[in-house]
Amino acid sequence: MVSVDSDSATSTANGSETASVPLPVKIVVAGGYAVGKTTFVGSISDIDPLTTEAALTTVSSGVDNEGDASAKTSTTVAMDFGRVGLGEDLVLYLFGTPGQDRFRFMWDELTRGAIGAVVLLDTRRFEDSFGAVEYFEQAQVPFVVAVNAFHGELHHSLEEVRMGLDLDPDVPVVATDARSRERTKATLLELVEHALVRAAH
Amino acid sequence: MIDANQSPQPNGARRSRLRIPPYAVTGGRTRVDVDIPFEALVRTTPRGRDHMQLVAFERRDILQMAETPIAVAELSARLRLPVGAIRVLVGDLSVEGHVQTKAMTSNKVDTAILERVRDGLRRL
Repeated sequence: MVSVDSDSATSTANGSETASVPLPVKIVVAGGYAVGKTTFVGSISDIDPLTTEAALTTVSSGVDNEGDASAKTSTTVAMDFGRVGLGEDLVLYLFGTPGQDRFRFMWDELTRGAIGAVVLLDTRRFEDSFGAVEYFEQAQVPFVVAVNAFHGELHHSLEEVRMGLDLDPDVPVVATDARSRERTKATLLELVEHALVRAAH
Repeated sequence: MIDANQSPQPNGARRSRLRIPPYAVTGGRTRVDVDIPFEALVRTTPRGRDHMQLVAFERRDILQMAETPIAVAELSARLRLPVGAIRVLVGDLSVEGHVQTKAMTSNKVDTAILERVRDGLRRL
């Protein structure tokens, strides 16, 4: 519980220390294998996307298993992420995470304190994003569905995507191009605007 | 409203259970620091800088890398350690007052921050 403690005594003592540290915020980029998550992140990131690994039971376990070495597992999931500086006092992290249901354990972790999620979709593989869409709906995480137009082509209209995923009317569905910084930026802005509308309710 | 948080006091007695021997990497513990988010920014304190030569291995790496603020996930990627291990190490360094961490404290992002993110993105 280290980082969530808000201790007024320490903020007095150390206020000048963290005042110059930007506030980190994050957006989750979910999607199936090879849908373009890392490309999407990399198109706007200040750094080349980095990869980190999380172990399955380490994150998913909600029970007290301190000292229980058997709870450790070699099952890991790789996440690619990037960083976007938004002025001196704010930094946005983009975490790419697999969209399949079996990676659900990551999403509890990643969506905590997140602005929201971009579900990146390849219209040839709808089913890869069902799990993510269902999860974000249930967890009430603001999300947009962004159809990655490979080679500028959409195989289904945005309306077909909306119907195919059975989305609520207020969930934005947009076309994007993961390779394009401007399109990625527009997609992220769509999400932030959507989160703002949601926050106002 | 305070969105960022400060790392705890080095001598916070109630957190003493987090201490591990200096020769262990994470001591087999995987759960206690689960609340440090992946994006939390870590920065070495002056105290941590003074103690840099006294700590070893991964802990020293973290103190060196966090001289400028760096996220938990970035430490994980650059040190090639699972993010869970970084969390435990950062948690311990934080308890000892060697680093401070900064992250959102609330689950929901408030309107003021969303507006700052929106404006920041527009300026890109």
